[in-house]
Amino acid sequence: MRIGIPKLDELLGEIELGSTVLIETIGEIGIEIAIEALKRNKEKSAVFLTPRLKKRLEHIFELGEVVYLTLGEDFAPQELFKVTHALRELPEDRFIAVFLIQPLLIFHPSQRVYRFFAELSDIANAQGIILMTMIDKRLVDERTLATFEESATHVIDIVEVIQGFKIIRGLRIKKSPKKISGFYKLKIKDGNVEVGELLG
Amino acid sequence: MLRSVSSLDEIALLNIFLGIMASIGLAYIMFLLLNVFPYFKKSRTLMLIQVIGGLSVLLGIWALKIVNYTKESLNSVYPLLVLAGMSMIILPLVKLRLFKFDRSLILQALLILLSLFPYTVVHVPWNFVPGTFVLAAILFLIRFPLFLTCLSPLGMVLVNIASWLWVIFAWLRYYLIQTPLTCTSYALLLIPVTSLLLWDFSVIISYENTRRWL
Repeated sequence: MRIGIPKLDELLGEIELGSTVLIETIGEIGIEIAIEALKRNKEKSAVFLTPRLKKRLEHIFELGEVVYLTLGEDFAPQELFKVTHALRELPEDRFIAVFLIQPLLIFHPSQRVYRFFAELSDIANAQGIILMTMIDKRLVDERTLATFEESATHVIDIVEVIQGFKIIRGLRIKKSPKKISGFYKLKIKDGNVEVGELLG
Repeated sequence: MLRSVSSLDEIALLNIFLGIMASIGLAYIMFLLLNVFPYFKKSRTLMLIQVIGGLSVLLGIWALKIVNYTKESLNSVYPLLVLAGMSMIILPLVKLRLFKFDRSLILQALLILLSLFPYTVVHVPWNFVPGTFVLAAILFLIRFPLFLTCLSPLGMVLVNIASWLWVIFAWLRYYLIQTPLTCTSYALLLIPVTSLLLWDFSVIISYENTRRWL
């Protein structure tokens, strides 16, 4: 599977079925990467999201072809078993699941969310589903982040650096079966993601 | 009887400032909860209970501030308003398993209640007794951002500092009753001011984080 962002696809290579892609970000920066992957593969996707993000996606593209499970509507934060069940029961033609792990971290201790994430990752691996997920690295400590990274096959790290009056965003491949990379310039404009030149 | 307001009544100004900061923090906690509650099934009644609880705490805190300023005899309804309001805020959290009793919270609440000990040996107004329970109730609010994982590790440290400053203030507040007020009394009021400033900052960040992700 390819995400649909040329430079990022070049850095990541072909993502094999059963992989877990973790996007470590600041706030919501880079959610466009997951949206891009959804747009490109919408007829094969399932997405676990919040009502607010669902509304946002509805503005971007027709959700009709995507299987989705909404936190607070289809399952309460305490009903994590419903999510693992839904992932196991996904139709065979679906092979990409985008999952927002961050909202769960608001309701549950990070250890519980990690165990849940590891279970999702195992299911994805067993069923040949590509799992793509995001975590706000400011809201977890380094140890927790490391445990999440351990269960992922690919880790995309997004950073934001303030230089004078400019905010520079960067992206790197922190973990991948292919190779890791240095930081590349990340530009997000009108929902379009562009990975630029290598930062010094 | 009302005390005449001089042009430089710093204690009154600081008290108003404290009341405003407590109100801001409480308001943001209510906003934050309004973000969180819709995710739980059948949570409308619980949400209503919390809103009433929040208003009750707000009313109680301001009533206590006014009584404290005017030196009128304390009506026991005001501390009861705060305590009842706090229970109404906490009860839904317990029901939704969002309330976390950790060792620090228990220790700090106990230390605040133990700050009543000097009351038995020092002659102070009786309103220090209900005041202690109000301080303990506010401690729950200060530590509230730790119940939900919506703060950075640094934010959590700030909440911890704010709660310990609150405990320190509970023990040192006896210095506030001396007349005439000395420099120490004014310096002492900087402790709750700092505590509430850190708390407000943490609650606003928590609210922003939950708003972003929920």
